[in-house]
Amino acid sequence: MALNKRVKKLRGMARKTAVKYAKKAVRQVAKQAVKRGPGAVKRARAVTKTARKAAMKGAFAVGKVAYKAATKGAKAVVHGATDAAGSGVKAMGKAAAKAATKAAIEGAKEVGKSALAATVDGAKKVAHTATTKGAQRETVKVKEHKDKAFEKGPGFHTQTLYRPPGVDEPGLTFVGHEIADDDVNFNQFIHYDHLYTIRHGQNSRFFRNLLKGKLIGTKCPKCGDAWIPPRTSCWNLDCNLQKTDWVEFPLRAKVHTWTVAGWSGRSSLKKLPFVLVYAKIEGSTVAIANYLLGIDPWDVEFDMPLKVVFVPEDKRVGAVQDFHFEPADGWKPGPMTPEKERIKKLVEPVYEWVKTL
Amino acid sequence: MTRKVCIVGGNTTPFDYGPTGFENPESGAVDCIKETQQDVPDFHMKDLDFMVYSHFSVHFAHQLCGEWIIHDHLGLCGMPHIRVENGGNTGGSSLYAAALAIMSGKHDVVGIVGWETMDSVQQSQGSEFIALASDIRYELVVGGIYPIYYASMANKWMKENKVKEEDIAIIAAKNKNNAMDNPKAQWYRNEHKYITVEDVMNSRLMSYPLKKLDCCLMTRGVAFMLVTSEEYAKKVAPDHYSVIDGMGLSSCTIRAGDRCGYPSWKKIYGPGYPDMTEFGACRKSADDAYKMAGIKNPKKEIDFGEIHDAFSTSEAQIYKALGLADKDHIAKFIRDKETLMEGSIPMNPGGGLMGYGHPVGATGIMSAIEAHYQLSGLAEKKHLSKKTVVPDAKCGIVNSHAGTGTSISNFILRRP
Repeated sequence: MALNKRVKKLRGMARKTAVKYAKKAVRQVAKQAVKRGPGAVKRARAVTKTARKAAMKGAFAVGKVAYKAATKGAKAVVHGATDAAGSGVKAMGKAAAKAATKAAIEGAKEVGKSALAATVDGAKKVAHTATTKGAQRETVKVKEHKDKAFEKGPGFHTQTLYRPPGVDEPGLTFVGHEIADDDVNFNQFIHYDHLYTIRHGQNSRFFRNLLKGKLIGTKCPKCGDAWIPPRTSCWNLDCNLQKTDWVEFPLRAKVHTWTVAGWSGRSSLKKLPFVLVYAKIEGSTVAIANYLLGIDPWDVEFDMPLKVVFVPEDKRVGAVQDFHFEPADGWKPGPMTPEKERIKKLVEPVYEWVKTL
Repeated sequence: MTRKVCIVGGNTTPFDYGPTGFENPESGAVDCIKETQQDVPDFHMKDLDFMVYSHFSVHFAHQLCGEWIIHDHLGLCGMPHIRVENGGNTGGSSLYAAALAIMSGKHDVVGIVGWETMDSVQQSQGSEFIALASDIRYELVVGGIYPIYYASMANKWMKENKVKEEDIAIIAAKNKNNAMDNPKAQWYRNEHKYITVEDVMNSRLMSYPLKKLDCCLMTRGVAFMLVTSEEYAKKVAPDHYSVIDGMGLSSCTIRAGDRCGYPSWKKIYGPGYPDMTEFGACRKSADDAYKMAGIKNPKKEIDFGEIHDAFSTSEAQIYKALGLADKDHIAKFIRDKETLMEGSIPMNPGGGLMGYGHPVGATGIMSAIEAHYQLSGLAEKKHLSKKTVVPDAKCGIVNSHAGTGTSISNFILRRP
């Protein structure tokens, strides 16, 4: 029957609209969760589930209302039709059904929108909680490795994990393509992601001590050259690959050379502009690169004294970004010079640009 | 006496980036070879007896052993092939390998195919991929990418040598303007404008003292070059081949900060060298090439160069490492515009990395091809005008440069 068909269609449309909005909500939740803090993804999944349920419930409700309204309208129309005859009746029936459909869709949209708002809000809350909590670290015991047949390994049985959400290993994913206007050329978009393990081996002592807030480098017992970054064998050919000794270095350094970066790699764009210095840690023959913080970029000077500052212990990852340089206590920048003015002029637009990222 | 090594021909695809650069490496290689066969009609694919592939990063195509695709595509299965990878000096190192193959007497006709597809990822991702050639444990993780390393080295070098930002901007403008005479150059194809020192000074900060226009371009491109014995060169291209009379390849630390007090340099050039400012590997490989070619006074005996201008500052540092000017004269050497087309020793008439482009594996090959054009009379045909043709060029230097100066090669090319 035409009436039943129309009502069915109506319910279908309402459902579709609701689902569309629910999906949109789900996508936004996922996006927010990935963007914001750790743990959010897991919780977002729960939020998503609720959202989907709510949306479906809404859709059904809308469908019900629409069904009722449409049925009522149709009944009225049918009722009226018994009294009157001709093409006018058909038109009336059509108009009533149209109006009912419109109302139902509007209703579904409303439901969808509120579901969206509710889920996004939820996701934001989740993300906020996660962010304020910071990186969630957990130390886990790893199951016993299979014993080596010939040699005892170092035995890695304790891991500290702080994988942020969104750092997955999806492998190869096709994510799109484009066809050129010349109707010949074709480009494909693929995404590939993978995790690496850097095995530090003999250099481990340097990285492990970063976790403790210490700079441990090496020194050649023969020629006396000393290094941060460390060298586990001497670089002097006269020392014939002499094994070096591990020694602790003071947290003091001096600028060897410097630059003010206005552009960087993908991982560091949001840190711009920053000062990168090559500095010699007191006692080291060589210079090591790192950020110089706590200074206006134009105020850096060659040979200026620095202190090594570590990030709080619960933020350390055992890599050189666990520390940075800051001007030594008591150091004051010199007066503005034409070069400083020039750097200031070059740097100012970078601050603005970074805000747009 | 080792055998003479000759360059018979070579070509590149148009160098490009992003939506406008689209050719795949194996088709690009075919295009380059076909064009070389137009220049050298007697060269046939069947003449090749060894292939050297010049490619830097498998990250850009996410394809290991991409040379196997090209080699197979060219119909060369059965013929020996190797790939050379040596950072930014991949092209120069491939030429070095091809020359060794000829000198040894084992091979007579060696093809080099170089390529890179740097537009396959976003530009900031590309910068980070290239920076994977720095020591990732100590440098990449603190925001390091090559413009930042080079800027740190250049900042100190410029202070010590009294070279100003405006001076290096002369070099940046020169190479981009030279590229405006070269239809295959990326600057010609994409930006297509002449620029001034002021434009360079006003461009956006990359890393002080480098601005955007002080930097080379990221590029998709392929290059092919034919390196042969003298006998073969005389047979197929008697009027337009060039000879590699000298070559050198040298090395330095991966981390620029480790150049303070490196013992082996002390023994070669005395204490305090190269520090973080000088390109020791450039000086050493140039010294070796000069010795082999019998060059006593490079500034007088060399007519022009195609050198590795990844940054305008590094071109200036290379001038010094090549012995064209010392500490007291380098600033004047640049300001006197000695390396412009009208100067005494034009540098990068083909546009260099800043103008022609820098598809890493193809770059050194491109530089050698451009030098070959100047020496074989092909430059007039390949460039749009005589403006970028070095008049009566008899001797040129080709320089290829990797890392923060970590591997550098130099070649002396001459007319036979």
